Amino acid sequence: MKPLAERLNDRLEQERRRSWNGGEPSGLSASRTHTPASDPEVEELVALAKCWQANPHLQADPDFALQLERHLLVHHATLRRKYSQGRWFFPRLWHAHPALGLALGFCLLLLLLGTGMLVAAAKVSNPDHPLYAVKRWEQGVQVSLARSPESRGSAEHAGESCRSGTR
Amino acid sequence: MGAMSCLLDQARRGEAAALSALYRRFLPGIFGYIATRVPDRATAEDLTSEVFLKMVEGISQLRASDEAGFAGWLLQIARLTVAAYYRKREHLPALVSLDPGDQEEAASGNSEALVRVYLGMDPAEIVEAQDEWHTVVTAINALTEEQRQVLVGRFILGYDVATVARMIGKKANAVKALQFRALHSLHRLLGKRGSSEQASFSPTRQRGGKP
Repeated sequence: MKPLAERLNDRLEQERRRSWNGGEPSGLSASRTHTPASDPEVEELVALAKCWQANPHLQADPDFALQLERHLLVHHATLRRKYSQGRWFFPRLWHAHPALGLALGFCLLLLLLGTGMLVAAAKVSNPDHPLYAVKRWEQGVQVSLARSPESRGSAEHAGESCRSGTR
Repeated sequence: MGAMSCLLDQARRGEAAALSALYRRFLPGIFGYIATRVPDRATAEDLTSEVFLKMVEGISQLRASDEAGFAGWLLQIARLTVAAYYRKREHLPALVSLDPGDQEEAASGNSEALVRVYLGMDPAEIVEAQDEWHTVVTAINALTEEQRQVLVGRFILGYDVATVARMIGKKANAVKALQFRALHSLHRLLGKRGSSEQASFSPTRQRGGKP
């Protein structure tokens, strides 16, 4: 013979299938007519489960359900608005136009790498270092960009002193 | 991909229709769970609102992709909300108003919610049914959390044993045992009220109607 927990589950499944088929009314008397009298303990527990299940205290009031649904949707809309306002430009752009966001991200990455390389090159004083050429180029650009003769002179002087320091 | 996974994905993306559908699917289970844990309907409604607001706030971070996982997550929120309610109540001093007007007001507020449930019953029956419900709440609170979740999953959400097992992270045999122990304990705690013909904790039966 099956254990009690197993027998109870079989009976509950039987009741569940019956209620799904929608054939017979659920209730204590109904359950008793369909079951063998040899398992009274199981039947009592099935009846208890049915009473508990059908208790009106467990059913939510339809007005309350409707009001709460409306409240939830309003809360959800408020949250979304707050979230989209609070989000930075880049995540919003990424969400709306992923290709444009990707291109912008790539440009930002290039800019970051370029700046980092220039900063690193500025510290180099060894002419054999691969970044030394970058430093020379940077100084050339500084000289060509200098407008007044004083600033051009000072840029050239800085370049000369740097070169003489390395010799 | 199942319909529920689809619905959960849409809800995670913030689609209002998916949130509504989830709410309608799980309201009976969550309300039923909370109603069996707290003594009055008004508190049950407040705590249910709290649970679903937390659902809306936290669904974007949800990792569950099936119904059982989602039900487990939601019941976990409900459990923590009920626990917080009892914790808060423990720290509050019990206030009893000496003004009879206040007492009447409190009583009418409570009965307003119960009018819907006990429509057509005479006052003595309402009080009796209310007392019986308090007994049920006390009995349910005496069960373990796993037993309560099995009862909700099986009898309110209408899941089979396998789904409830996934929901609470146990094996099917363990769920069957928990189900048996839960009903057995309830039966013992309620003093066989549920099974006897003359007295039941279901108010509808007291009125002579079918549940």
